[in-house]
Amino acid sequence: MAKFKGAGRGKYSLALVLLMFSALVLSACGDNTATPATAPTTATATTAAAATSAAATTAASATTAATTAAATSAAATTAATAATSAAATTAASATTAATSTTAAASGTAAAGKGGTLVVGTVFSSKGLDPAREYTQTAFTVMHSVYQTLVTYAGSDVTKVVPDLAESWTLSPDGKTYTFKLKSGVKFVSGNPVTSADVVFSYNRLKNIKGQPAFVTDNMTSFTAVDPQTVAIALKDVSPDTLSLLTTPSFGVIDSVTAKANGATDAADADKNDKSENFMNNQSIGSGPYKVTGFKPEAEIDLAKNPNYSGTVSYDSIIIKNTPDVNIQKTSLQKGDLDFALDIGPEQAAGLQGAAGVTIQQSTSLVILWLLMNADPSVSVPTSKNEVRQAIRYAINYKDYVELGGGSSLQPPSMIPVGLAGALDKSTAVPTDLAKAKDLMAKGGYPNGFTIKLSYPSDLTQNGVKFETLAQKMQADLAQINITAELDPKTIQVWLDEYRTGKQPMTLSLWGPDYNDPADYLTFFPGQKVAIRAGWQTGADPEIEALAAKAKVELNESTRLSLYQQAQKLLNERGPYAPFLQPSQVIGFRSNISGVTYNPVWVVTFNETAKK
Amino acid sequence: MTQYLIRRLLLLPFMLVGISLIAFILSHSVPADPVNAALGEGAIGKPDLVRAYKEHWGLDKSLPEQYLVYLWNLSHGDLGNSIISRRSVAEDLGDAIPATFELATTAILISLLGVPLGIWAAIRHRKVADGFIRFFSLVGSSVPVFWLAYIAIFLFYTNLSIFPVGDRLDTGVRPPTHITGFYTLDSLFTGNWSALGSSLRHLILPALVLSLTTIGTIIRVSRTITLDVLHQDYLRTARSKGLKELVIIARHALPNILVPVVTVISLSYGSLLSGTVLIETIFSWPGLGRYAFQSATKLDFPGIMGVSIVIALIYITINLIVDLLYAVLDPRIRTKAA
Repeated sequence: MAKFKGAGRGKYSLALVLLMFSALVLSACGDNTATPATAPTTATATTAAAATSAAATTAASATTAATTAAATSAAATTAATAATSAAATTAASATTAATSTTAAASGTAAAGKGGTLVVGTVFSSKGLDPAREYTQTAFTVMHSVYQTLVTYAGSDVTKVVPDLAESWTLSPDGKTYTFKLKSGVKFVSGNPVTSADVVFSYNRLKNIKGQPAFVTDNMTSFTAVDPQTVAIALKDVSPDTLSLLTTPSFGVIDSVTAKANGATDAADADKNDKSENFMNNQSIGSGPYKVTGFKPEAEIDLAKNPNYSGTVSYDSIIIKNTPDVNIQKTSLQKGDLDFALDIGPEQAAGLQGAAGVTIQQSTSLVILWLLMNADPSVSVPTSKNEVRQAIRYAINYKDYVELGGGSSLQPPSMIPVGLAGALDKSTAVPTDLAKAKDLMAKGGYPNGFTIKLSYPSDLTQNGVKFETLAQKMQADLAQINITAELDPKTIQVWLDEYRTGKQPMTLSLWGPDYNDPADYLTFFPGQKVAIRAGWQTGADPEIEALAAKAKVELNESTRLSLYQQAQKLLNERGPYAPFLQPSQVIGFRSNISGVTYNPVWVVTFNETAKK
Repeated sequence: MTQYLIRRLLLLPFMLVGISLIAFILSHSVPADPVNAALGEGAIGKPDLVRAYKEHWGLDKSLPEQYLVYLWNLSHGDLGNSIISRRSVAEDLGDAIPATFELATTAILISLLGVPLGIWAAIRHRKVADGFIRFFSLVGSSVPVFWLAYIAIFLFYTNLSIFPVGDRLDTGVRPPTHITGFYTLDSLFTGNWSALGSSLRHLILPALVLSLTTIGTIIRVSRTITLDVLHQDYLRTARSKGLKELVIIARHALPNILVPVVTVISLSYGSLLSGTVLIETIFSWPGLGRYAFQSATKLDFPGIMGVSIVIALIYITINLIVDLLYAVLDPRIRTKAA
């Protein structure tokens, strides 16, 4: 009874009102869930799916009747509000139609093509400035909106083709490239592409000192010889220059528009370039598409560039952040996505035979490899070459290939199959336990030893978990009596240790920054990655001499043969054991043709087309 | 009451400094270098690029200096720029917070159903309904949320095609004019029916899954407390007076049930607001949880600090509201506080 006393009557009614209110809210809420769920939702859900692909076709036809390009966003809102009384279904498709109007109305409608392409990927970047971003997503987008002097067509990454440049020459001393630009190429703004834009873009790239600035390291100056000619001077002779120039970081931006929005290419650009925000929210390039919208966590919208001279496959492209790969898979299967860029072997297996879905597997240019530290102060056993050789023979390579699935293979060299300079697949190190045990004895460890095996525990590469790889490697090493103590670290902590070179043994990976064997010079003694493996300058003069020659050799076949000789020696004496070149999976709707995989920018959307 | 409120509000800045300090120390005690985390293989070997990067993000200063700079900026309402998004953290949070609030609020509204369900289960103690509700709450609170999410997606998206998955709107639908940041409300206010339909359909499935995790707890707490209250002397007295059961529950039991139930609901709401990482990732929901996760894994210190402060503020605010609600619901607390 005592509890009762303090409470006045009013309080009961208040409590009751509260409860009734919550009940009201609940029932309202229940209605919310029920109402759309019964009729319109089912309808819209299916149309939504259709809207992505079907709106493409409807939009195209609606467009011709629709207003001019200027009405873009206005059209979108009017369409939406006009549809007030109409069912959600029609409203949804009306908006989609209006949205795609943007592109279709402004560009020359390519007959039988166009529509909207919807791409699902895990966003790795939120910026789109070629001078600042160095991530997969940014590269994929930049490659569609900015042009480079030269590029690669399709999946062939061994032959450079013209993009902004129509021709080029190399000076006799091998230190100056001169590019002649195509005439009549225009930016989104309508400004012509001139040599001044190229010079501005490249100086800006160098001087902002952002992540990608290292690609200009060997370039000392960029000169506008005349409005259509640009010269690039090199510090050292470097046969990889052309392939480097295909990197999206070398995308040419509209210098006039850029300057008007705070950009600078001066030496102090790292402090005084104020255009970052501007550059992240639109594109000012000459590629087939332009960035029209950017929601950093959700999507990047591209529309046809009205000033692009060539054919453009789509009216618009929507790149959606889809962080969960299983959802990417399901959405692709249902047709909500046209492309799923991050699915792995597991999802690919689940999509096998799914109607309307094509799974394209190609061998990636990623190498997964084992580091065996050659520095005796870090690890005595692996400083002995016999032990490192024994480990190379002890690895059951076919098991890793199986883990990678699809088009995975055992890499015959640190340079992956598919890049010039790689060794032939048949020369890959075989699994030979007897030989491995013999080598262990020769190295002075017939009874094995105990060693720490580090790996980034939260990293998954091409659908293969490092966790699984580490366990497999532990089992393989146990065959020759090596007790590997697993040392899992999160990627950031692992990176710290890896880059200081204090790991006796670790799993690691390397993907090409650009498609040239020169990107693999880092594995030779005294270079960045080699130092992490305890391989300092002077550790192997023969290999170093070969690498030094290969770096500057201008005759292509001589150059590649030098790389191959060095790779062979690396397989015999190096501190690395490359064990897997995983499969690269791209999933897309079967009505899309022309899809090829590029290791740097993944897909060139404009090379593909929708039936 | 007012005095109490003022006292709580005066404490706020001190709490903020404390929280920011703890967040700063914790995030910097990770044995990983933010420069290593952000720069790729190409840039990390170039001393001038590393230096430019450190200068740009203020990482060249000592840790205490970095913290003081952060505090100074914070006192001016500047949360700094996110290392990963390149935008101001305030702008990022401005996008992420309403998204999470919309999701969590919908989920908590759905899970309010747990209160009447729990009370009902208590009244029907050991009957079929009780067993059923208890089983439901047990499943709801013990099944892992990501598993539930996948099952829900498999059922309602993959097979039945009732709800879409991914983002807050359908592809191609423009977000409504920004008023509250809740897409459902904003599109309702602006009469943007296509956005309303689209945002509702995108909201329901993740909200339902989220609510299943909290409704279990709410049911169990409501049920236990009701059971406890039902055996109190004063209820026996009420019954002996011949009052109807409904009146007994509504007027005599309910006020005593509500206080602890409100606590549980508000704590659940707080955890929903700060702990939606899995759901936001699976449903590609661009909210606070995903932002927090991203900042933490990529060592985006300004992002981590911003999220920590926002989440702490959310908890402080919710606790304050709950304390005030107690006073409304239980007069004894009001008397003490005043």
